[in-house]
Amino acid sequence: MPAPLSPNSLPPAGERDADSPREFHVNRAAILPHLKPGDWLTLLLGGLCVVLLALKLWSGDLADKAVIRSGGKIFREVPLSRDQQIEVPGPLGTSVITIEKRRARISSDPSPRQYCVRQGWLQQSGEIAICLPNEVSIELTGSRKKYDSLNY
Amino acid sequence: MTASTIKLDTTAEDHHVARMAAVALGLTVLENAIPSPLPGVKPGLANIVTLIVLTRYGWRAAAWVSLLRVVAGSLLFGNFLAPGFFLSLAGAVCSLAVLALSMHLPQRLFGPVTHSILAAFAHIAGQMAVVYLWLIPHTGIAYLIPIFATAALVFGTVNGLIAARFMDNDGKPDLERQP
Repeated sequence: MPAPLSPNSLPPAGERDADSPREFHVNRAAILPHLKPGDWLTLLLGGLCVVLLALKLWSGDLADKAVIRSGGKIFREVPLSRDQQIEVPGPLGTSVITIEKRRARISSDPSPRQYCVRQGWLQQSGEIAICLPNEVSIELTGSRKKYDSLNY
Repeated sequence: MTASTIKLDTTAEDHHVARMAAVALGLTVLENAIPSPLPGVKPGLANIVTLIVLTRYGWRAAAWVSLLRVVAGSLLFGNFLAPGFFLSLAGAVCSLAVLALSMHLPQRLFGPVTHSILAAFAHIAGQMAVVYLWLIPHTGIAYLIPIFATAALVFGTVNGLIAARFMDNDGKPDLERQP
């Protein structure tokens, strides 16, 4: 069973009454005394962590490969380095995928609402365009490099 | 109708934990009324109570309060065993795990603000893990991590400061927390 509750060691009551009013003032006096050196360190490291996360995750990992699927199965995997047009057959007809300047888009599709066509160019890794009735999709993937740079 | 009474033996600590969990629950309801720009970004005011309980009564009591709040809160909002419940639970469990470690940091250097920030990061890490492993297994959610991390840092700091401010009065009879 847990130890009986006892409030932490009590300094004589009233010791701190004189100069600490009970209202909450948002001012320096309300904040600074509560931050110990280690707290500043944690704040600093936390801030650094957030900045690094943002830089790392928002740096827009450029894609270098496009995975084209038709009917749920991988139809082709093409590099984005070569400009080309790819015709992908689907149950409704042919979707045309254009790859140009390391970007990819679905340039024509027989689907009625044309969502995937209007989505425009895909550039970053993880972006995806799906033409639903025609069961065609294109997803960009990054290279997931193991290193940032090499020196010799 | 015959009234049958089931009497459970409860200790003073049980009562105290229940009271604290009720306060935490109140704060949870309160913050649910605050509109959030993005689902998942919320202040986590109930963690102020967890922090205070942790400092005053130790990790065990804090764990009780935190988990009771999650379960009772989900019953209150009607999402018990729904995805939202498991997200809360994952966040709470990760926070508690980190708090169990961070409470051993030297008290002279590290105060509630540190515990609060670490717990907030752990909370969001646990939630993102559940989201990724269970709900949305797509790397696209990584784009949201910096937003959540920023929120964790800001709200963690604010909650820690509030908790520290509450405990200014430690050492005096526990006025605001008595029934």
